[in-house]
Amino acid sequence: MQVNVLKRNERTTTPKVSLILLDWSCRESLHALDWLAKQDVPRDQYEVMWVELYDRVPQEVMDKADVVITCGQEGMYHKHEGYNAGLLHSRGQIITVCDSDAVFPPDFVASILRSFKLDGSGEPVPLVLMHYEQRSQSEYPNGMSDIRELRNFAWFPLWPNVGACMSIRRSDAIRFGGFDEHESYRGYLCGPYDLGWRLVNAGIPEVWHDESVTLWHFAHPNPVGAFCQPFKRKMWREVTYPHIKHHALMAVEAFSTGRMHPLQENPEIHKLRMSLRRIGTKFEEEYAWMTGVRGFTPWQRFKLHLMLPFEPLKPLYWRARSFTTMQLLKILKVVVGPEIYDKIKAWWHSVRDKKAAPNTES
Amino acid sequence: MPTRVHKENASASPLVSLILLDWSVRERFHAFDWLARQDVPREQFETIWIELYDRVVPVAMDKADVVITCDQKGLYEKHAAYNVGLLHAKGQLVTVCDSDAVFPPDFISSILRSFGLAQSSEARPLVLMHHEKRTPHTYPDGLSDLADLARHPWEPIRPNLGACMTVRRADAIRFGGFDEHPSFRGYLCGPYDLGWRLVNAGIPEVWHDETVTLWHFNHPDPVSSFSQPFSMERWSQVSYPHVDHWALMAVEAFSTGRQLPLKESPQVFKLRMSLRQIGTEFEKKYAWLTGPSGFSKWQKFKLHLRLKLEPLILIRYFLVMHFLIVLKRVIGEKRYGRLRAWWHSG
Repeated sequence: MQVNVLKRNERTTTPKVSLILLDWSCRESLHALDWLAKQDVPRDQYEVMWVELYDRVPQEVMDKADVVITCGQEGMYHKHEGYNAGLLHSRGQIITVCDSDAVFPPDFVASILRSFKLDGSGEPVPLVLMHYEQRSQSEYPNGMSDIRELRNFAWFPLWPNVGACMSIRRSDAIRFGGFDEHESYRGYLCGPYDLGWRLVNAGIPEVWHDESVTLWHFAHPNPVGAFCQPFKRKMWREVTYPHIKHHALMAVEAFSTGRMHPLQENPEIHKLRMSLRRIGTKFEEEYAWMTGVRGFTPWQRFKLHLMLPFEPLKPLYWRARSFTTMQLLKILKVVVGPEIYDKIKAWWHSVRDKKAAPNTES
Repeated sequence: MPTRVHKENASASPLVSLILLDWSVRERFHAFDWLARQDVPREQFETIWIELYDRVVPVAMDKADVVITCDQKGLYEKHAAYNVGLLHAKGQLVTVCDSDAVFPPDFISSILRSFGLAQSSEARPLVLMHHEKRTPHTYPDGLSDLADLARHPWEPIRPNLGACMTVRRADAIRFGGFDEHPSFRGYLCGPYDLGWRLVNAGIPEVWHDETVTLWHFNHPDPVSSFSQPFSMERWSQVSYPHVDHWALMAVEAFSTGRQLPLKESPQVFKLRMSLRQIGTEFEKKYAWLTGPSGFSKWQKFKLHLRLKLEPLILIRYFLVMHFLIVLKRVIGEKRYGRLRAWWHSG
């Protein structure tokens, strides 16, 4: 995946919330950006990040989003990779993953800040905050600008749609490996609940947001996203892996087995979370970076297994090795003469000391 | 592992639970005497004595608050016993430590300070590793004053990860407790397995102040020091390859960033799963669908098959809906209503 940052957040103030909005060259209406511009908190308290999974970037997005990223994906889209691109580039203490074509109430960001107790100063509390989303069969009406107009439409009864929108602390998302990039999440059946449920497994409380600050989602002209629609081949093609009632199988399995790690972790996130660990001694750091993400290789394991039965011979081996080396050096000294021998010794020590010198690079 | 509780703690809620292990080897029990002389009220901590086999020593029955035997067979498995202690612990903090160490009088109070429990009622997350000094001398009879320790030669201090560690009980549970993988069986294991996984989960690790170090005298027949010459008995207690005498699977977990054990205690699993705070009843359906090993191969096969047949299932649904619409027209709304009510009642 070739991530390209087309626009960065130039504000000097660090935002508190980073909203990650995804597109996969399919959004036909960009009204979410207008609703997000009308929040009742100062604009620098949140940033709007637009992540395009392929490479289409409408000018309106360049104008209205704070950060614009393209992922250059090919074939079937992978939303979780897009979420991770957003996560890695986000600057807020809280990240919110949400539908990029929703209508946001004006107190949406403020209510997130309140939920995480970030409305004052201080640190956000750990939380998995799930947001409700009302759905309508009507399409988005042209020129709508007042939230009260939503009353003019029919809305389905509210239900906990775990795939819609979620806010969490950025640090928690990193600590638990970010969004799972496993192949089974490619296509339509995926969502923030993968990470949300793993955070719940890790003991972070999940709370569903107040229904009064729900998002509002109008139907698409050519809907791919509603399973209450009749069967569509296009929709079905975007389901790449088995599911449990339209929840990704691997997310359900993680939730049900108590797993915390993604099956396929983003390498950048792995690197970041490993580097953020606070290890008590230099001594232990030696063991904290011995392998890559895959652990010891079969060859390393084989060698260690082989060494174990020979451990009783180790003291004998070291004695024999030391004795042989000393004898060989004595012979060398006799053959080359003490002067040349001393030169060789000095050269060898300089090489050894150079190798043992501490690494001064930061 | 059939555990048997020989003595229970009547105290309501200690702050620290000390887990002390024996595998029918301890020749001295002086640790109890040093722990009895702590500078905090006695009810603030509990001592949990866990015997891996079945020996119950009277001194443990007299002086420990909790006594449990694990009735293990063959080569001992310390991690399984740590988990027994963890599950029985009542303290907010659990301390796993050498059961034959000398403890300074401010050991418990310094733990409380480190976790912020001296000021607050909630402990802060921390992996607190305790230093332990070692001497080649054996424990002198009648030692009762900490000042007398100066009479013995002590090896330079080093971060001995296998000796002693304190963590919040809640954190230990959240991350699956101590790993019961067979590779930890025998001598090469220790609290660092869990400690390193907690570090991977973002909990800061701190080494305790050297002024409150533990002091460990040598055993009469030492099995426990790798600076000793090779001993067949010691070697026979190493059941799995290691990296510089650190358990291979613990090093691998630390190095890959793994947070959960390879083999979780079923009781710890059940407890940590039940402690989750799930936002809706709707989601709870998905939170308990499988056991710890996930979906079976057969279940996965059926789901894969179902996906391929989904168009047919949806077409069937579509056909049924249309059949019902036709039926309603043919038999009339009233009869259709009755028919539907009958169907729903069944």
